[in-house]
Amino acid sequence: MRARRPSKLPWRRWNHALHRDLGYLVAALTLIYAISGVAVNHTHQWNPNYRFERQEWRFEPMPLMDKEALTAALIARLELPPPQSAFRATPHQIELFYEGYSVKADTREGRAEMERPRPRPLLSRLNALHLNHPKGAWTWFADAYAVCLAFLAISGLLMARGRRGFMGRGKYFFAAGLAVPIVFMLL
Amino acid sequence: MFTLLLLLSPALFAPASAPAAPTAPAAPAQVFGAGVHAETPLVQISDALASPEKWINQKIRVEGLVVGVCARRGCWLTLAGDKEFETLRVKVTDGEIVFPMSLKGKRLTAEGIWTQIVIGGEAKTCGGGHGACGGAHADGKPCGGGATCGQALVQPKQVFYQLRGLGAQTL
Repeated sequence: MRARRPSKLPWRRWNHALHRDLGYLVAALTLIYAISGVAVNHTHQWNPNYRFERQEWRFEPMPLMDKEALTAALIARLELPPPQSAFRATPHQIELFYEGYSVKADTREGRAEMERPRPRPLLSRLNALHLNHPKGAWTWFADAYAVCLAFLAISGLLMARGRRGFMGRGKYFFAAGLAVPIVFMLL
Repeated sequence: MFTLLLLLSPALFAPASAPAAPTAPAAPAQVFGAGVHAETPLVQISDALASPEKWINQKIRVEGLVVGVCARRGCWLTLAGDKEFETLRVKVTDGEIVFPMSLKGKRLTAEGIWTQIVIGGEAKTCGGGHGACGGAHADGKPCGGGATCGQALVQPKQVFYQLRGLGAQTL
């Protein structure tokens, strides 16, 4: 029986080393995508980019008047500074706009609410990266990251040999992971 | 890894927004998407809403006060017209343009395609003729309107107009 020649190209060693070092390289980015992925997955349940500070007022209902008079009456009643701009959606609903916040009032109901959106400092930036808002160079960087992820997935399949390798129990885990998206695609 | 962190650090830890100070003499205009172009006809929102069919599928510019912004995705904003109680929605493709909430209360020019949207007006049969429906369409969605199986309902036709935004710029 002829002895097996050692491989000229120790591809498994290269695979191991590349998987390890690329793994280090993309770990931070993977965490960014993972955190923002959960955040933007649930936009129907919460706002992943802003939190809102709100303040409510109740006051005596006001009679109908023109926009300027209504604005003046409202800022006097609520002790607000003069607004940058104002908008009447209906004769008795007015919104006053300030730098960074707005006050919406229903003068017939005698109710007003201040709303101040505050960007979630880190998360809004992560979400913007995840959703490729920067565009330009970030698109290429994110594409390169996706290629790295694909390499990590394939090289990961080839990491181990024998019973713990892909041809051992690995193929069952792989099939389970593949089955879930297929089931959802067929539903 | 260190290089990667260095590359990412400006994007991650820069201030979330850079609002212009109220006293700043001339804040630079914020440009979104393709921006706006002088050669595109500028149409008053009240004119566009008064004769909306005239502008369908045409590229126009509109100016107004931003009175609403999509809080979740920044994928639309509402402009107040030159006449009281009038507003126009500027809808942009999700992710292509992202309007920040800080635009509320600022004046803005938007450019895009004037679009007609028609909802309803078609008869829908409860159950879709697939037998026992339990008051639901074939896809399982409830019929609504107190419809019974096999009953055809005509949803009232509604026509809306909005600008499919291609670009925008603050004034």
